[in-house]
Order: sequence, then structure tokens, then C-alpha cells
Amino acid sequence: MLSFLVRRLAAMVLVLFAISVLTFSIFNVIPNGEPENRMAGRTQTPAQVEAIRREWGFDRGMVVQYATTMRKVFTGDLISYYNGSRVGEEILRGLPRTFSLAVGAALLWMALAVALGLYSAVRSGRLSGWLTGALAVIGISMPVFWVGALMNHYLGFEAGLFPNGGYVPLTEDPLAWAHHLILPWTALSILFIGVYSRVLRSSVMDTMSEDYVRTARAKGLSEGRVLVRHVLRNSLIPIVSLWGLDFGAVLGGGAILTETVFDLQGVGQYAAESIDQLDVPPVLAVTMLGAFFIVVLNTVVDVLYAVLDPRIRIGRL
Amino acid sequence: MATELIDRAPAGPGGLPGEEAAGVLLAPAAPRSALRRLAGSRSALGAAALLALLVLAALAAPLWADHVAGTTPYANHITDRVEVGGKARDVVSPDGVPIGPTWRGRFFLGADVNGRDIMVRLLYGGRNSLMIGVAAALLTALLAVATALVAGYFRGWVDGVLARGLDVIWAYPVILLGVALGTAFAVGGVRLGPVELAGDSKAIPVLVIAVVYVPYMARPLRGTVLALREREFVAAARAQGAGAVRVMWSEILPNLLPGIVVLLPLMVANAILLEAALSYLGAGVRPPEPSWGTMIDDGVARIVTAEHLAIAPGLMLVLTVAALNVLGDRVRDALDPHAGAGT
Amino acid sequence: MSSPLLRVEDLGVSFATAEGSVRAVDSVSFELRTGEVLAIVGESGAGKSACAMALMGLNRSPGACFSGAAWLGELELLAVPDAALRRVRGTDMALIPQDPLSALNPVQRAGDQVVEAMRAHERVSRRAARERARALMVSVGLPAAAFAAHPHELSGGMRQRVMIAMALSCQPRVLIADEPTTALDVTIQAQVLALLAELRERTGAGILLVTHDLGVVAALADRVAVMYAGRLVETGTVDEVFHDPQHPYTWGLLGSTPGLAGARGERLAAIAGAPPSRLGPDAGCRFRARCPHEHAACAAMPELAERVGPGHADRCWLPVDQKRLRREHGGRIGLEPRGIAA
Ligand SMILES: Nc1ncnc2c1ncn2[C@@H]1O[C@H](COP(=O)(O)OP(=O)(O)OP(=O)(O)O)[C@@H](O)[C@H]1O
Ligand code: SF4
Ligand SMILES: [Mg+2]
Repeated sequence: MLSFLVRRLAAMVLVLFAISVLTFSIFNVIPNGEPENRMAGRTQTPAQVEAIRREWGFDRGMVVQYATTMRKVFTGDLISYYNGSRVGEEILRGLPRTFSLAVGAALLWMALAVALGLYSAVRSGRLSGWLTGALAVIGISMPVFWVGALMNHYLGFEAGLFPNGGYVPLTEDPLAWAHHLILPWTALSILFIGVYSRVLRSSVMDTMSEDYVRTARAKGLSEGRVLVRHVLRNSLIPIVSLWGLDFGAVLGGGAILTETVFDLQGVGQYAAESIDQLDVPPVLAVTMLGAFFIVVLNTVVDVLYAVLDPRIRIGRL
Repeated sequence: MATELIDRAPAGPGGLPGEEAAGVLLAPAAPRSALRRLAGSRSALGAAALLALLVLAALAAPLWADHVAGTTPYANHITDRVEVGGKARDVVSPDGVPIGPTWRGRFFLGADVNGRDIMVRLLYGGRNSLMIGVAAALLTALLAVATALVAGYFRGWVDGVLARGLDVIWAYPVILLGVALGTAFAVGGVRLGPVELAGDSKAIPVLVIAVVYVPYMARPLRGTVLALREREFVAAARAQGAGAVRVMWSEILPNLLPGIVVLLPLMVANAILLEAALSYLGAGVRPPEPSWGTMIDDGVARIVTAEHLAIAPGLMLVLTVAALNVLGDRVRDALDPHAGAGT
Repeated sequence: MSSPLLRVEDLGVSFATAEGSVRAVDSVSFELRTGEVLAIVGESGAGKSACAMALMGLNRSPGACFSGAAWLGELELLAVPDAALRRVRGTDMALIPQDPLSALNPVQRAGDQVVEAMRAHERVSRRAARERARALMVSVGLPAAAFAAHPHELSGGMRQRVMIAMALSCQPRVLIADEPTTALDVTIQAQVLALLAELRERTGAGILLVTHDLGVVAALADRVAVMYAGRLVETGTVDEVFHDPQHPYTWGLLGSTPGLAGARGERLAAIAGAPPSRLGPDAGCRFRARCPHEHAACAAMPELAERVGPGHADRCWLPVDQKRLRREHGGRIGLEPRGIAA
């Protein structure tokens, strides 16, 4: 277990390093609008500009620039090229919003996907199974921001059932928090429900033909118990890994489209807006954050695997 | 990372998920019997017919534009008036509301705020979206197959480097990477050896989408190559003195084909979706060039004044992507009769 | 004679496939009495499992079609709805499967799977059920540690003992053992067979033993039903069938089994050819294509009739004296051709 964690930690450091290099180079091969000028602001003096240039290493090679920027990432001194705001603070402001979106949506999509996938597997070959399968295909075929915009317009603006975007902290007013998040949760979940229910459906159908399911029936268990205790648990394994990864990605700001269309102002939206302004530091920070969550959740998934399936031993992963 | 976008293959235990060849190393059913199964599936035929219709419509865009609508996808008609039910109406009203569907030749599906004909733009936009989707999927396949072949054939450090490279792209949130690349390329253009792409070239979204999706295709294919590498026929070919390229090309590649064929429709579907997402975030197709993505972006921004602007391109996109997904499912069922029941 | 535990009359099972309807089982009838072991033998694909699973309702599906009747006491198994069948599964009728590894849920502890079987039918506390399951598992020869083990941590023989414990958990009157020893190696096979023999003594359960191994039949069974291509071709006591076999297919089986037909380790005579397709209507005796003794009468389907004596039935047109003459080859029973009948 210890060596497993150590290996995962080493892998994470490597991935984060590679990702930061990748991000840094994407934005440094292009003309970048002299960041020192942008950072110094409108009332700049040549001395200020020079000081910033020195501090960030803009007058030196790429490697030095990268090293200085990375040091600032870890000391929390990273500031935006665009308006000089502190990236760390901006991210901390966005994280609760992103987390709220991620946690709610992840629970919603997992629960509904399990229900839908199980139903369409059990009903396969009948009209109802076909219909649920068709629903899932439509779910994976719709752009999130389009669904989100339509929901916002019809349910929010026209019907007045939901607020038009925005976010209220959970600590301030839990009801308003949920009220603001219902549409984003739903929009983001639609896609995942489609993906997961399809994966679950085929794994349930595979599991149902296993001998041990026949054994469970031979014991005289009710069909519901057979499904839940014997079919479902064994079928969950593939979607648990998907779930961990997608959840990790959304936690790290991966749900850019949902955050943007509902104007949640989470870290994903922050990153997208920063890219638009060729503002490298926030993009760098959010990308690393995203990759961090992906790698962490990946590790959690591996542990979950071992919990779900006793044949897998953590030490051997 | 595939958030919000991709229909991923389920993962296996250990390592980074999606690594094993699950579902890709298909028992290659004889192509003819697979085709017969495919043709026997009503939903496959329906999806194929729908796609053919959409492609035909996109091809016929100039015909409709010239002979029916009498305009181009870029022409503004803000101050024009159009005859609807005997009355002349503003294409765009003085307070900026564009006309809705007229259901006749001119402005069949209405106009946008610039007074451009939505139907015409939808057809031309379909050309762009479909072209970008197909081109990106093919480029992804090309890059992925090359990577998988080289990594899986040579193994050792070559594989180590390539596989870790794929892992890095894969751990990068999909849309973030797409937007970052799209923006950077749009600002600076791209120079790949002799090929130079201007910032507003349509080849840029193709390139971006292709690169972003490479790991999703390369990782499972690499697993397949690693497995095939161990098989007798590869050893036999090598024993007869076949070189690396020969073995990869004529021994391993043919066995990858079913896997590639299964993934292609899904790749096109995902590429079309990603084009739309990138365009929505301003990092895809550059206006005024129409694509379903840019049109949805326009429409979403003006959904309060003119719903049809968002609905028309969105529906086209959903239809196309759904048809591709259904076709992809059926192709998989046909090539691998044991996986799931098809209808 | 007591009334039978299980009475099967004219059982037919067919499956809809892409090529047409496959008749897996055709007009099969037999009875199973208390404390009796009835073996169904036949080569792979004969329909043995389809028959056994039909009794437990485990192969019910939209494509499966059943005919005839099977009585478990007063209950007609083929006619009752799933819910009623569920109540007798595990309690009155339990299954011991062929491959204990795939038949055990890999993610549940062995003991929990036995407990689950108990609690499916009886209102017992989890605690009491655990105690009982533990005792039951020890009584079938499992070490105490097996209770908390996962299936992959147990050996093949231990897994089969877990399955047996699970089957016994509600004291069933009928045990259906579908090739219970096929997946085990020889020494373990003997142990499991001994355990089944002991169980029959101790619990008085009737055992329906499905197998293709005549050695297993000899070790355990009282009566045998030989199945060929979906139909029973010979039934009788083990003694009758082994020493006075009436059907050429039975001769073949006996001849190809070492250590049974008085052979001294000579070459085995496997039966040449393959069973007929079961798609269309029958064209006479189903064994015709492989039978060296085929003659004109064989163009019609023979009935399963008691031709030699009460209780011993077969499905072959040859006269009894001819059968006795033709099955012997140098003192051992077999199917070698010796002249074609007129
Ligand atoms: N669910 C099913 N669908 C279609 N055909 C089936 C089904 N179950 C069994 N069959 C067919 O019925 C026939 C009898 O199968 P069965 O499994 O009963 O044979 P068996 O005697 O148990 O053989 P084995 O010794 O291999 O277990 C076979 O031809 C098989 O292909
Ligand atoms: S009926 Fe005829 S064909 Fe059939 S087993 Fe007897 S002799 Fe052979
Ligand atoms: Mg069987």
C-alpha cells in the first residue's frame, strides 16, 4: 500500500511537470503581447516594467521564465498578466462553485445512470429497453452548452422557475444554493447519464449471463436481490473508474462549458476566460489543478477497484 | 480528460484506465458477414440514410443558396424586406429582432441578427462541421495508429516515451487543451514544416481536435498492437526476415482495422461535438465562416430575442451526432456479434 | 413403493435460434425417489443440462419453449410462475453446478453466499444463519477459515464444497448436480463423490446427477438414464444398464470408458461420427447415422419401451437376442461393427 502510494505520488509529480511544460510552451510559441507591459498596468513607469521583467525572467530564456513562474505557482505569488490579480485568490474564489457543481452533478448522474442502465439492460429486447437506449444516445449527442442554454431560456427565463445563472454560497443560503445549481447539475448530468448508462447496460448484460447469477437464482433469491447483490456490484466496476476520472476532471475545472453557460464563475470558466486573454498564469494554475484532481481520483479509483473486487490487490497495481 | 465530451471506453483495473484493449481487439468477423449483419439492422440503415441525407444537403448548399434563397452565407440583408403571406416584412426589425422561419425559399428558417439567411448558413455550416469532423477523425486515426504501431511494435523506451506522452495529453482536461491550442494557433498561426496555416484557417480546428483525441484512440490500439506482437504470425513474418515497417504494415495493421472501423464513427461524432464546443468558447471556426458550432454560439447569445437561431443548428448537430453514434454502435455489434444485443 | 419426489413426464425443451428452433430435449420422462441417485448420462450437447435447468426454471427466457410436465410433489414446475418457482428453489430443490469457480460470486465471501442462501427462505437472524452456515461448511469438510475467504482464495475442491454447503443450506429434498466433478481433478473428484454419497445417506435427499462420466455413475448412482441427442435411449438400474445394456449407444459409451467394461487398459473405442442436427423433424432413430447395426426398421422412431424386463427400457429396434449377441467383442461390451443386420 505504501509503495503503491509512493509510486502514484511520483507519477503525479511527473504528470504535473509535463503538463505545466506543455501549457507553458503552448502559450510561449505565440506572440504574447509583452506580459510585463500588461502587468504593469496603465500608469506604468519604465522602472516598474523593468522590475517586472526582471522578476519574471521575461528578459531571459524560456527555461528561466518557466522556473520563475513555477516557483510563483508554489509560493502563491502567481499573478495575472492581464490585470495583476492574484491567481491563487481567484482560484480559491472559484473552487467552491466548481466543487458544488461537481459534487451535485456527480451524485445525480451516477444515481440516474445506474437506474437507467439497469433498466435498459433488464428490459433489453423490449420497447421500453429500446426507448431508454435511444434516450441515452440522444443524451450523449447533445452539446452541453446548447442544452444548458435552452434550459436556462425556457425553464429559467420564460417559465421563471430557476434563476438566470449565478451562484449563492452554500453557507449563505442552502436552498438558494441548490436552486441556482439544479439546472447546471442537470445539464452536465445529461451527457454523463447517457455515457454511463450505456456502459453499465452492456456490462450488466455481460454479468447476467455469468454462472454465479444463475447460482443466485438457483438459491431462490428474488429477481431484485439478484440484480442488486450479484449483477450490479460486479457490473459497477467499469463505470466506477469512469466516474472517478470524470468527477476528478469536473472538480479541477473541466466542466468549462457548463460553468460558462450558467455563468457559475468557477475555475473552469476562469481558465477559459484567461485563455481568451492569453493570460498564461491562470491557465497554467488551473490546468495543473485539473491534472492534480485527475491523478488523485485515478488513485482513488484504483483503491475502489480493490474494494469492489477482492481479486485485485492494491499492492500489485 | 474527456469531460463533457467523449463517449469513452470503459477502463480496466490498474494503471491509467482505458489502457487495455477492451473491445478493440475484436474477433474479426468476416467482413462480408459483418456487412450483412449491418445491413440487417434497421437502426443502422436508418442512421446511414439520415447521414447520407445530411451529407447530400451539405453538398447541395450552393444549389439552395443560388437557386432557392438567392443569397450567400455571408451576405447581410439587414435592411431588406421579405414577402411572407402577401405582406412585406423586415428581415431584421428596427429594434434588432430577426425574422423567424418563413417556410419558403428566402429565409426558409429565418434570419440572424445580421440579416443572413439561416437555412443557407445551416447548409454551408453543415459542410464545415461535417468536413472538420471527418477530417479530424481521420487525422486522429492516422496519428493514433502511427503512435500505437510504433509504441507497440518497438516497445521498450520508445513505448515508454510515447505512452507517457499520451498519458499527459490524456490527463489534460479535453476542452481546456482544445481551447488553449485553438487560441494559441489562432493568434500565431501554425507552421508545420512546409505547411503554413493562417490563424483563421479551418484546418486549425481540425488539427486541434485531432491532437486532443489522439490518446483516446491510441491507448486502446496500442494495447492491441502489444497483444498482436506476441502472436505467431508476427514471429513467423519476422523469422522470414520481414522488416519492422513490413510487419507493421502488412501483418499488424490489417488486424487493427476492425478496431479502427468501430471507433471511427464515434470519433467523427465527438469531433463534431468538440468543434461546436470550441466555437462556442471562441476557439474554433472563425466568424463569419459558418459552422454549426459558431451558429449555436450566435444563437445561444441571442436566445431571448430569437430562439430559432439556437434551435436550428443545435437540432442539426444532435441529429448528426446521434446518427453517428447509432451507426457506431451497430458497426461494433456487427463486427463483434457477442457484444451486446443490437436492434 | 413411496411416491416419487420428482416426476418428469414427456419433457420437451426447445430454443429459438437464428437457424430455427433447436429441440434440446425431447419427450424425456423419469422419476426420482427419496434417497435415490438417478444419473443422466450422455455426450456433450445431449441436452442433459437443458433438462436439469428446465426443472429449476433457470433456462426460462423469451426464446425458450417448454412442453410436458414436471411434478415436484404437488407443484407442476413447468407451469408455475417464476415467483412460485423461486420459493422452491433452494428449499425443495437445489443446484450443484459444474464449475464451482464461475458459479461463485467472485466479490462475495464464501460464507456470506451460504448465509444468503439460508436467509433467502428462512427468517433467521444474520447471526444465527452465520453460525449455521459455519457449522454446515465444516460438516462438508471445509476448514473454518473458508467462511471468510473469497472464492479465488479457495481450491477447486473447496469451492465445490462451498457450493454443496450452499445447496444444503435449506435441507432440499431434491439435489440437482450438473456435472459436479467435471471441473475437479481426479483425487478431488473422489472426495466430492464420497461427500455426495454420504449426504444421500444422511439427508435422504434424492439426487439427480448429470454427467458424461460412467465412472461417476458407477460410484454413486442407483439408476441411469442414457440420453442421446435430446432423447432418453435407455433407462434402468446401474446394474442392468452396465451389465445388460440394450442400446447400441450405451454399448458405445461403455466401450469407451476405461475400467468399466472389463477392459485391461486397451485402446478406447470412441464412437465415430457426430450427433444429428435437431432443427428439422426426425428421420427415424436418432442414432442411425452412427449406428453400425442400423437396418430397415430404423427408419421409424423407436419408442422407449421395456423390452427386456420391468424397469429397464430402451429405444432400439433390434431384437433382444440380437442385442446380446452383437454387443460383445471378445468378452467386453462395445460398438464395433460385426456384420450389418438384415
Ligand atoms: N439457451 C440456449 N439457447 C439455444 N440453444 C441452447 C440453449 N441451451 C442449450 N442449447 C442447445 O441445446 C443442446 C443441449 O445443450 P445442453 O447444454 O443441455 O447439453 P449438455 O448435455 O448439458 O452438454 P454438456 O455435457 O456439454 O454440458 C445443445 O445443442 C445446445 O446448443
Ligand atoms: S434403432 Fe436401429 S439405428 Fe437406432 S440404435 Fe437401434 S439398431 Fe441402431
Ligand atoms: Mg451441461
